[in-house]
Amino acid sequence: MFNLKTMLMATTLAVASLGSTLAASAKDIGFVLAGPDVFYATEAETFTRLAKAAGNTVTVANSEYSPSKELANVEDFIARKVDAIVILTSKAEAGTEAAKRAKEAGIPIFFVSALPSPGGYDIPTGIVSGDWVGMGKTIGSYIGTHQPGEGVVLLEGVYGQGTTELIHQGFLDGVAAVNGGNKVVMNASGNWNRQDGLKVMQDFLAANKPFKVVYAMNEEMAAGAIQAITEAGKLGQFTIYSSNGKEIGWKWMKDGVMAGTVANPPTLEGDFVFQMVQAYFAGKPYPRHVYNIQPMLTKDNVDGAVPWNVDNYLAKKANGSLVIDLFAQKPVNGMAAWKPLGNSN
Amino acid sequence: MSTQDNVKATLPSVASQPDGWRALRFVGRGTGPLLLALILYIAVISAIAPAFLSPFNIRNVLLQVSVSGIVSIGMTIMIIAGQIDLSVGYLVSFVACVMAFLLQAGWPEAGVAVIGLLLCVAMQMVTGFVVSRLKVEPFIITLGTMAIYRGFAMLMTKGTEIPLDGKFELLGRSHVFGLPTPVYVFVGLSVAAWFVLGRTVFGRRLFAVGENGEAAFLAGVNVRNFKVRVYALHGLLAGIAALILMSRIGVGSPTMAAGLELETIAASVVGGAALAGGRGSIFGTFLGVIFLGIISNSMNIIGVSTFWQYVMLGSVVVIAVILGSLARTER
Repeated sequence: MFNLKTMLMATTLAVASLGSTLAASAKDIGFVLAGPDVFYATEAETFTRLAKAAGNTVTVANSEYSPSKELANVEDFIARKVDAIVILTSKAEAGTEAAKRAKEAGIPIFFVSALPSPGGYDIPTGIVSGDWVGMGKTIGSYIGTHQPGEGVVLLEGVYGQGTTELIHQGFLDGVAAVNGGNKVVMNASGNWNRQDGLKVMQDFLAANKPFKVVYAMNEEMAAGAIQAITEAGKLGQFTIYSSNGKEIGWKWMKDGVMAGTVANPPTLEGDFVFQMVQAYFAGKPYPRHVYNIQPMLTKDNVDGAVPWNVDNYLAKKANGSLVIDLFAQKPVNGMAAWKPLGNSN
Repeated sequence: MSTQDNVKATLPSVASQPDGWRALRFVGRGTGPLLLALILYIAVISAIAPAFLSPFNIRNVLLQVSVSGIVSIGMTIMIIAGQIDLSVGYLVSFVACVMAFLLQAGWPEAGVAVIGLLLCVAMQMVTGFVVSRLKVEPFIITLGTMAIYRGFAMLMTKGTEIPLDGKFELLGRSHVFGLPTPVYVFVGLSVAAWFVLGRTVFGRRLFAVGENGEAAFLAGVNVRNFKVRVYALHGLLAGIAALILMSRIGVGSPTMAAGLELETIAASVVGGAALAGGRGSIFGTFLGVIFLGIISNSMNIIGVSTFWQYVMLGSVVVIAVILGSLARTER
């Protein structure tokens, strides 16, 4: 009886002790999302599911693309005294200002996908971003090699974020690096969405200018472009490329509708920033800035692409067919500056 | 079509005037200046870029403006009645998401279309009921409903698109005699609305309610119920636009029609509608829709920066409002 009593007490104490240990290690994380966008939503979902599985709590706040709301969201998390903030900013300057506030309050802040302003590069505790110049270079050099000299039209993202401008810059560098001689015949913003991509592509086709290659900076705009080209009865007359490597693009490549895309899976970025935050909490050293992994995908290697679908991504990770290690990534030590851009002929 | 410019004021006088005078009056007032400005703009742009006037591009422009054109008809009717709807962009997006969700779940296309239309009409009727019974500002109420529709659309989709997987393509992607079906729907609804506003009791009451609701009430119009009918009609047109947009794009997306409210208000105002109510025309709105659509299209064709497109669009709206105000002062 004594033994049983002792055992019960010991078990109770052990459970209580384990509970308090878990409570102490469970972290409260605030995730500030730029706005309602598939890429951003996927990134937040990946991070949230991984962080929750590790015993943390995550609160996602949406800034609706408003710099003031973004700052307010960060301030709310500071007031709540969260253990860390992850921010996906829609405006570099506003994000940097928010990062300053968090730093002053002693709360670690991690940037994901988008970068701070060049002047605020050293402020964040960690950064996981797309290599936008690299993405443009990859596609530019591929087009320069496979369609040298052909006129190209660009369906670009929102101007002023920096992302579009850096991809554009990288594209020109990539074409030049392989002496492709491709000229950008027309470029305009499709605002990252399908309906504007459709409209802009219709306008490009109507302009009747000499181009054979279409590069849309994401699959949504590529979907609009493909629809416009199909409706004009011109499918097969242009070589189409995109960026991001979303599942819908895999199908287009297999069907021969699209020639290639540069992968930029948000699932991977969400995973990297999760690993970074975990390393910070554990007091382990980690690379302060890494790029997402962005290979060129074509029909030949698309079967090995990293899924955007969070369930598929986590399943692949769980069964060992996808090994994602932050610590194996090459650290980045700076960021490219960008110049404003607009349509051109 | 010119007689519809302020139906009450012009119908009796125009009928008694000689044809030449009527033509001059048309050019000098109402939609005449807008039509002249549109012709001038087209002439300048086609001189710069001959491809602008190609049949392919004319078809493009008509197709591109169809959805906003249909909603603009409803918005013009609302504005004439002294109302405004800031929620219409997210209403269209939300209803398109609902329909896409049902289609994905295997519901029959015709049933989904009816549900979409009824949903739009019902939600607008609720808004109209609140506005007319409680006498609250439509601006504030529709700002609130805009947030509600947006929130529901986001909750439903988690910010992502719902693909139709090849379903419901007929309305948005088919052609009749070489022209896309949405163009026929837009033109057909414009003609119907022009007829209703200019030739029916509903039209006369609409202008009367917008001009002076109290006087309309004293003249025997049940203003409160009439406003609910106006909202319902606007909802029906928004529902048709949602059907076409969803069919055309092939997905339901929570932001697919974001900004539509401003586009349609701008088209109505450029077409001569007065936000104070009691003034506006379907023909003017038709021209306004085409004008705004052409500006965006032509800038892309000649390769002018997106930022200049904003400046141009804004300038056209501001100039139209100033001219409208001057015309009213003159009278």
